[in-house]
Amino acid sequence: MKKGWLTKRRKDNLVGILFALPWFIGFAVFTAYPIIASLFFSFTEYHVTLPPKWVGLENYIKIFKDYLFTKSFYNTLWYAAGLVPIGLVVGLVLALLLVQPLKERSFYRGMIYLPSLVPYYAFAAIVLWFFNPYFGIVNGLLSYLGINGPNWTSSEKWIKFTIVLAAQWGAGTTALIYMAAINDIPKELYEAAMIDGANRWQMFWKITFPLISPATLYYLIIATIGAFQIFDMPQIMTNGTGNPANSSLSYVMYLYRQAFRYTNMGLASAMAWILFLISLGLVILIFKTSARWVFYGTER
Amino acid sequence: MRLYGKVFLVILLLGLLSILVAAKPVEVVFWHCMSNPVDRKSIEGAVANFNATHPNIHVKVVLVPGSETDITKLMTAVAAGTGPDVYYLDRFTVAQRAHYGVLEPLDGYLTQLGVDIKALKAKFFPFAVKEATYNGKLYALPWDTDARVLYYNKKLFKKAGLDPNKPPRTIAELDEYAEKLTIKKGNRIIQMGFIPWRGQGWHYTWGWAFGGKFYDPTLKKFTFADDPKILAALKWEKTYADKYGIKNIDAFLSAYTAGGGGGAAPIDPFLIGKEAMRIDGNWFLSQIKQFAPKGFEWGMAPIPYPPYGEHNSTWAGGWSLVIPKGAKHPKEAAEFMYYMATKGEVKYAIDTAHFSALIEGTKKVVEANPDEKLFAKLFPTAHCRPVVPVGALLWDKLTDAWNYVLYGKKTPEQALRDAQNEVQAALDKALAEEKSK
Amino acid sequence: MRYRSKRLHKTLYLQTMRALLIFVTILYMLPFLWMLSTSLKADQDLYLFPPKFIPIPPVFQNYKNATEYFPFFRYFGNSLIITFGTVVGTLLSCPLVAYSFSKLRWRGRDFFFYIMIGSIMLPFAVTMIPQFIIFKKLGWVNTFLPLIVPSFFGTPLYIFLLRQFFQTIPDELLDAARVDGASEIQIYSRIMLPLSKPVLLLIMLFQFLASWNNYLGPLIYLTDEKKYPLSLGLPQFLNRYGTHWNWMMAAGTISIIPTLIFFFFAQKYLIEGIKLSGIKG
Repeated sequence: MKKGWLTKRRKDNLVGILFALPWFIGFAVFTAYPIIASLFFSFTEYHVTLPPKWVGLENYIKIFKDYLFTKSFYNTLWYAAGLVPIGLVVGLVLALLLVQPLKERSFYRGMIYLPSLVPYYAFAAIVLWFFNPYFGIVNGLLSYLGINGPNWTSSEKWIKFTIVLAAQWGAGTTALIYMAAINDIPKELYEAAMIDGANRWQMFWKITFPLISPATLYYLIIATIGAFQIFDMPQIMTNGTGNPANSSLSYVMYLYRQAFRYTNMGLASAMAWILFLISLGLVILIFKTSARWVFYGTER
Repeated sequence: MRLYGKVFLVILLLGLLSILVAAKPVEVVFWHCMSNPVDRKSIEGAVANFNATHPNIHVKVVLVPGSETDITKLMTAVAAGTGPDVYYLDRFTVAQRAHYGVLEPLDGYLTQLGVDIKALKAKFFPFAVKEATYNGKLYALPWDTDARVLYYNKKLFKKAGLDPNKPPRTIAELDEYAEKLTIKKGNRIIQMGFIPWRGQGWHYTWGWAFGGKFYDPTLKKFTFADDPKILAALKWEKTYADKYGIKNIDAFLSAYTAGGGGGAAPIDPFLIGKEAMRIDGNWFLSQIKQFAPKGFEWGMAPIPYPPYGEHNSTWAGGWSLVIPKGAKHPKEAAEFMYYMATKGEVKYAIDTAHFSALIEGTKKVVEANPDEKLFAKLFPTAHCRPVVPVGALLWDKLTDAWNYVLYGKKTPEQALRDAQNEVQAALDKALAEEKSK
Repeated sequence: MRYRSKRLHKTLYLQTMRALLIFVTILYMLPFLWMLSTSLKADQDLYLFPPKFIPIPPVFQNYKNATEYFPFFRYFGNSLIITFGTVVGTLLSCPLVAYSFSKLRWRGRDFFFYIMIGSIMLPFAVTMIPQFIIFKKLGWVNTFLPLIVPSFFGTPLYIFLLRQFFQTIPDELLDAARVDGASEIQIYSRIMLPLSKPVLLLIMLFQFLASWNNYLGPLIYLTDEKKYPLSLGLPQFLNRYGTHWNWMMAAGTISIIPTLIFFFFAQKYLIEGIKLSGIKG
């Protein structure tokens, strides 16, 4: 075999890039330009149908003085702080239940994934029904327990929590990922632990949790990025108003409003890049700490 | 000789082909978002009539679903130069879209068609022409229109000992009736007499009913924070929030409307006899007809007003036809729009029980549908929202200001002042850009 | 004696789990049941107070009306074509790229991986218009291509997911094959892919659903009603002049059937884990 310029290292690089080539091409053709363009627009006054005009940092300065920017950013932080951890726990618990060796479990799996299939428009209406303060199932159950349920969808205090709760009906997706991860764990490990006299709780923390940590990392990254871009649920539930009194207005809802309702695409782009930087910071933070708690089995 | 024959044949074919191409009608693409089957069929019917009578033009209708999202599609397409020739636009946004270069002015095309623009304008209600005009140029042809009145439940009136044929005429009467018609059980509202900001009880509705002015078009200045009548309207609305408790009202509304209102409400408290009075638009009539239980008795009345306010006040919105920038066949588009606005519109109004922006059309709608007489009476003096390039922002900021006050976060004076400062700054900026162009 | 009590304990544990699952399942079935119940209600019952959960008699006519509201089956067919295309694209491209990002060593790998993750952090609202202009220059506006073709170039979300799973497959396994003279493409197709069946099905399922429910993409790219997918049909029920919720829910109910079928087909394989235990020894 002739070697020439194709050293082992060069060959590895070449093979690696060849395998990743679809993404490289797709990124170069479909993704790179829109990203760069939006960065450029963020420094311009741009109304989409008129040519952009360079204004330097004006959009960035203006946005920080905007009350609704602050408000929608706060709301989004709230959403993220609720959605990411609660979604993790719910998804994981569902997965642990669904891997139990029960005959009829495929039925349970289907049913738990079912709400994820319901189209958003229908789903938003259903949520409004369930959390109806007078006639909803949720407050009905609470009143059985002697609790006077809150105004889930019309109170500034509760609306965000309601959306976070309702989002848990979509936890089937996370559960499926965790199920796949749990099923990958070699059964021998549990058998060995059982012989050592470990109980289920210990086995979960010593075996299951570390071995599904790659899935947890995936979840944390994707859920964080997703939570910062939350749009559909509050948008559809409130008809895009962010009611009551802007308390459900998410960052991307406001961004969307700026971009298309007021056609301030420059300002919207600046908002997008601020969001990008914050997401990036958080994601880097998660990746950095992941070396300590994510365990890929292969590194043993 | 055979060669000559072939050449001859080719030339003949080419000639025929070019005749065919020339005779092929020009295609005008028309986007609209009226997904309701009745509206949709009526529009398609009018287009079919146009196509049949205009062999040189073929109009292709495309339904763009979604009422807020359709504008996303339009902006994207116009930015890329793939927009339609005719677009169905919310009339109150015409000024804003025209300002930012989304729309083509129509005067030139209409004049080419031999249309007397002045005479054309006179055919429509003044508010509709006002909204369709920006900087002296006509950017849209008005299509349908709407207005707001007070709806009330006659049965509930009787139950409360009120005369079902005497709806409230003044604010004082309205307050009194509202109280009589409200039933509470502890903090829970079982039946609501009246909530000023419900349905179509917007800032504009009450601002105008109280005789206020939002904008001075000659000075290009907003005036709502300086107008004591608008302040009075806002303060009056706040008395409802205080008297019945904003939280109780919100609980009632979220229970009986399940959220945002508009399209997202699966139930309606008015239709089930839990809300005695409400300001709403003429489209609410068709909802009543479709969904109200048997034996439902209701009436309509002009919007109540204070002694210093405006008698029979209402405001009108509605839709219009426009030519987006970059349209391939603007001239043919204008011809189509002219046909629709002058001929298609009346039938559409009758079919759908909407109102026509054509003065003549309104009469025919009332003939076909006597329930709507009240609206016809109100249209000639109806207000329209200020024609400014920041109309959407103005709407949102007014809504915010009202919310601040109702939720007790700002004083009425402060809320109005803040909103006015913000919208004025945006307007000044937009106007300055225009000058520098 | 000890053996029996242990078995008893296990049965008890399983029954507890079953009870919990039944409870959770009911909770998760509620939204769908509500959709189903609304889809069978008569117009006047929509406004009934308090609402009835079980519609008597069920109005099956709603389903007929829903499918006649817009060309339902044409839209349905378009949805199938678009969805099928993207699922194929995803399956061909994502594992390939994920293999490179997890099991191959090359310069700049991690850098480009982070770029890929970064590329999903911008909201679509601001990249939409420039992207539209690219597709316009390609002449693809008003075709299915802008909706399908990008999936052939990998979706960051799924590449990342696959990478996480690929990384748990021991390197020794691949190295052993390399020593035996297998090429990377052989390792990929004969070892990685068969071992990853469950997670491949998972991304197919996710892509199926994402594509099926995609609204904004078809909205901006398609300008011919004949090409509309179902996701552009459902919002047509929402109406300022009164929404026929029963019809909308009927359409919604029919629209989830394909995904549900796909799910039950796929979930059989989801149960099987990667059979590593045997290989690892």
